[in-house]
Amino acid sequence: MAGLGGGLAAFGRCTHAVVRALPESLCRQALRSVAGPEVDLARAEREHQLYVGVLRGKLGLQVLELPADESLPDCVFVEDVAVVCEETALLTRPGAPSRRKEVEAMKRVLESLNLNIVEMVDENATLDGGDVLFTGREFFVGLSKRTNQRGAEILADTFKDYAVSTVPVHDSLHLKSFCSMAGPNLIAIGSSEAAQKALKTMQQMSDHRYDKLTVPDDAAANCIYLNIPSKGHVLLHRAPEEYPESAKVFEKLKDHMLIPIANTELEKVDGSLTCCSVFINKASEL
Amino acid sequence: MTTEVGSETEVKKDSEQLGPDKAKDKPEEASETPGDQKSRETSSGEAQDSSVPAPTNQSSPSSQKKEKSSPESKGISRFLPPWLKKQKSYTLAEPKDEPKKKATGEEQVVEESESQALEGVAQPRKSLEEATENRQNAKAGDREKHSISSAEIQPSKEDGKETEVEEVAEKKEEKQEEKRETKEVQTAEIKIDNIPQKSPKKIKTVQCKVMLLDGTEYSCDLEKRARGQVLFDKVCEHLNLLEKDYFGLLFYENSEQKNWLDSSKEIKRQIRSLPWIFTFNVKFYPPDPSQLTEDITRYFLCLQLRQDIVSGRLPCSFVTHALLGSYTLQAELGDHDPEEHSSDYISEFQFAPNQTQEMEEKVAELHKTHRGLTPAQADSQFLENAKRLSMYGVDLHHAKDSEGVDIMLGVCANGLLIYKDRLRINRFAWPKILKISYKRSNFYIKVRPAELEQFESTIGFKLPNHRAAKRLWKVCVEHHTFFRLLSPEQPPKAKFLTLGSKFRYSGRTQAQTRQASNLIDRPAPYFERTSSKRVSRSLDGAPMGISDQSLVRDFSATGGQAAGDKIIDLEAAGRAKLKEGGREEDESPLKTPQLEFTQDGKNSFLQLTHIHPSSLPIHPVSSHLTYLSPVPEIDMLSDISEEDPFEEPLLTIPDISECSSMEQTSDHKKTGTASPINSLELRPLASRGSPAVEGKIRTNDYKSTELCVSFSFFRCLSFSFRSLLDEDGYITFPSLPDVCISFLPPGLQHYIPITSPSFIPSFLLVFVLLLSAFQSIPFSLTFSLPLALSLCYLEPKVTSFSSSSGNDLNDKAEEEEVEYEEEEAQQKISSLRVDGENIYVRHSNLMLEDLDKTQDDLLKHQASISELKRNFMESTPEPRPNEWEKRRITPLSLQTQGRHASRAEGPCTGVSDADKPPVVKTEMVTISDATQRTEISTKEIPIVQTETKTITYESSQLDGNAVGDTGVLVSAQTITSESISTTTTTHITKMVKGGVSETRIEKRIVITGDADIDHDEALAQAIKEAKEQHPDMSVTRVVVHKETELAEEDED
Repeated sequence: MAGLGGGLAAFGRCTHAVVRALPESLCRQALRSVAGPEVDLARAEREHQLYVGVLRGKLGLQVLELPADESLPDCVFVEDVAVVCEETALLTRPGAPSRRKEVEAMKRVLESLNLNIVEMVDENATLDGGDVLFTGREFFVGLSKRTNQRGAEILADTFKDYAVSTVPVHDSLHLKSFCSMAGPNLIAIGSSEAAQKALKTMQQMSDHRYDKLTVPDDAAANCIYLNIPSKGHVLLHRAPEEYPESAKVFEKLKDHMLIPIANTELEKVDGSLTCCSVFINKASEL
Repeated sequence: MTTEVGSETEVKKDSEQLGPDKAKDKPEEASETPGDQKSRETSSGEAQDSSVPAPTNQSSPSSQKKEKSSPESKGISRFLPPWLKKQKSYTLAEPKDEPKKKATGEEQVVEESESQALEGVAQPRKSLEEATENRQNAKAGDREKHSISSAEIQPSKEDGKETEVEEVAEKKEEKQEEKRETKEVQTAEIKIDNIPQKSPKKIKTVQCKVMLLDGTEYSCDLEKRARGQVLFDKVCEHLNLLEKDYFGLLFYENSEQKNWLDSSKEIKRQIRSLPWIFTFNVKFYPPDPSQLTEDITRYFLCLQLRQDIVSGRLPCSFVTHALLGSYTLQAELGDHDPEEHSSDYISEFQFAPNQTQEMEEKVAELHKTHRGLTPAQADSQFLENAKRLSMYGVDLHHAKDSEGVDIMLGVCANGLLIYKDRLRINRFAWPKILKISYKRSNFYIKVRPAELEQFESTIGFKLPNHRAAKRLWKVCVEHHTFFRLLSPEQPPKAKFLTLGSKFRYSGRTQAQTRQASNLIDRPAPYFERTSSKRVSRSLDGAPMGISDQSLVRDFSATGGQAAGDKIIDLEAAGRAKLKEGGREEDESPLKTPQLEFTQDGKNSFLQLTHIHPSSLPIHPVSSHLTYLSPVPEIDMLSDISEEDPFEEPLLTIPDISECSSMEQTSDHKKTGTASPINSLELRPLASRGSPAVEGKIRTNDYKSTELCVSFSFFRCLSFSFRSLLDEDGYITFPSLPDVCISFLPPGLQHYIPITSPSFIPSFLLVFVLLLSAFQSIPFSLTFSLPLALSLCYLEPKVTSFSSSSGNDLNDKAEEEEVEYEEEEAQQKISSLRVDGENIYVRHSNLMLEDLDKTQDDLLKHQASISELKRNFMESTPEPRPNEWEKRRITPLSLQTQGRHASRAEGPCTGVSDADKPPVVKTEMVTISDATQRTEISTKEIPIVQTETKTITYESSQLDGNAVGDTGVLVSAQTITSESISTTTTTHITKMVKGGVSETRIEKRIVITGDADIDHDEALAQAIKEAKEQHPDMSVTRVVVHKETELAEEDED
């Protein structure tokens, strides 16, 4: 049934993924929360190609890859500019002014997919897709430096079927910097105090009880769960080389198909796994 | 990358292996849902319990009442002024002599006389004799009523003089109808409810209209004094609806303010001057509509939801609008037929607040895909999708938070949701909420401390006005009861002149209604689905924008039955529970209300100053005062203050000693209570000492005992008593009009709170107190005024103090509150189901959660993963019992045999030995220390490791509870008091064994705290205190049960 996402059975289903190539400007100009080592562009590109390769080759998704735009150093992080749920896509108004133009390319590609497109036009609203956690039942929106109340309200107006709860996010860039969905009812969460606090908030706000998967590293808690018809539960998570302890935790998910993916370079500019893609489920065309 | 490949294949293999297993698991999961079953079992057990005594209840009251009423009046009548005799004696005698009688009936009587009194006030010129005559008429009427009701069919032979022939005819007609109803529903309540209708005098009927969900209008004539239940029953009958507990009748004060008609109260008192126009609506949205038994019920729910959607109350996305619309079409038009359904067939329907062409096209498109669905299936699909909407079943109320920010409070099946704009900013699940209350226009919730916190916090919200606050409070009380409890809570004990609503949800709970609907045995009724365009016409249900206030909490015939059930529940189940409790020392605290009673005892004096400003008409003060002087009143007043004449006869039953000991127990909790009040409050307790009366531990019966007293008191004062009682039956006092202020010197106006709403009650209270003490009216009058004024002056200060302290003191300031003793509620649930299992509270928690999950198809999806996850993940249940809770709920009966002496052994023994009176020999000492690892293999149950130690000391005197007590349980009472680190539950059971009565006081002291609290010392202190409180009693058994939560171990 198409209605309301068909419940949890459909959670994680997707047919299409939108990604965007890395611009060279990323190395020097991408926004970053902490100064650190420079991004190795070549390595970053290899990792990204691998990422896209997994989505396309291994999982058989139709990957729509947008070309890089040198004027938009952060454009690889497509997640922040669109929130897609079922047939509706909300084009966001990213919190960082330098990123607002990223939306345009995304709009074109989503239009080509015949989604109902809602644009966030309110001048006072900001929302980064990285602050939006969709659990299959409801939305949690992190109120961070990048996302404000108004942005969350517009999200709530866009996806009226779902409860939208707000979660304060203080210490990290985005809500999804330390959590993500690792299964239909499973939230992967980092161990930091801030992460645990946010989880408590989410648990309190929700009528549902989620299972949680606590991983030692906050960054590793950002993983990608997909439900691919021929493959079942698929989980893209950070490679053991990067976060060995967290990887061990993921490896215990016996009924998930686990795909470790390295993301060492983009992580330097606050990039995580979910940041680099927007997933769309267009399978059930009537 | 090698790792990748490797892991992938492995994983694949794994998942393949798991594949079939998973598939196997799923159906099991789906079919089993253990919690659900359990709950059914439980409720069925309960329902059986409750159904047994029903017939007696049904038959006894009316016939007995009639015979008994006159002879019994003697005992008490000597204390009454002659003109009051009959009435008074009647009502007072009742509780004592007719224990089995329905409380409602009693209440009815009282109310009726109240209204008589009101009439008197309305025509002040009427002479006293006339009034008396009236009353006697009423009395006669009463009796006659009963005779009628006992005979049931007989037309009334002798109506009151003033009855008009016409009305008699009408009455007969109505009676016929009622008879039918009664037959169909077979409840006792209904009959009793109807009794007042046949009241002999001035029967007037009122036309009333009910807007139904399908947009049609139902109208009928109702007797003016009819209760909400009568109308609701009629409507449900008209609709052929059996599962009516989910529904209710609304009336609108204006387009915004909707009120639920309270089925247990007279309609006219709820809607006041408004026209009798109601809307039939869904009141409790079942979280899982597929669990409804009948299609017709689902149909009405669909109709309601369509209204909700079209009106925008239930927001949904474009896609959902289209989908739901298409199901509507399928249900009402059947399969899409290209010939019949021309292009615009859809625009006749309304699916969304703003329907577009595009949407209609989408609807049509989807409609085609539903080919073959029957109307009932289409409705089910509709509901399956609608129930997932986030605002499904959420009743929104405008409010402001403490900072004045506009928010919405949403009451739903699971708890209270807080929204700011469209965003959910907080949520308080029912298990988290300890107490809800309102005062003036503020609404408060007291929230269980979070895991790491020590104190409960009280959160206040500002509602637009007092009525709104009260409405919200009521809705919360009802939702909590309906969805969270197995059976309705008892209303709080009536206290003399106390405040606080006795309002409780009195209908059936969801558990009960499910149980009941399982018994529905009729062929699926035929009903016609009307076109939803009519629905769109009646849009958001606000008819005429007029109405007043009320609440439907009962549901018609079923509601009647529910009330019946309830009595029995408390009677039978309560008794059963007690016995059980006695046996296994599992002191399932019986009744929350009693708990409150204790508290109120503590606070009663203060509380009196907290009467809220009345929303009722203001009476000039003179009208009260002029009636203060007549002599008979004084008699009445003194009757009240020295209630001994009434009380003694009640106490001359074998267990008089027990009564006193009981008083003692409760006494120590009441500090600073004015004595008359104190004793008045105790009366119902005492009266329960007689075995006969015991059965009546129920709702309205307090009301009856108490109200009789307070009523007569007020009538002496020629108060319009009814105006003092608001529709919940609690007392509100009018403020003095501002004019009064002008009598005061301007300089004093600021300081003398003569217009304070508390002034009149304070004044009366002080007056009564003084009068009882000095027996002199002038004296009392002279002194009560300044005293009352000073009380009023102090009131705001006390209030602000207590509310600012935010802790327990707060309770005093609260006007109306419901304690959600969740543990108790849960224990109530689980004690029926699980025997002596130390995790049972969590169990019941889970039971509820299970239900949710089932409803949401959650289990299916998580089944496979969760099993694995369980091995290495800590799953945090949302209402996770914290340390405090866990300790508190651990039943004492749990004894674990262990090898080592416990750490606590030494000090404890010392303490208890030292403290025990000489009569007690410590005979048996069971010391156990077992580190229990409670690993529960259900997925949802958190793995909590606890260390429990139980030490039992027992005296030889009584063999504990081991002996199967064959005695008759006379009464039981549970009192709970709390301080920061200790919770004391006092459980008093009285048994009669072979003529010897025995009072057993079980005290459970739960000492909670972190490691730094010296438990042993606290325990010693507690034991000492307990001994001091009951010097005349001996300690027979001390069980020390220690439970420590071990740190969660790392799985790896």
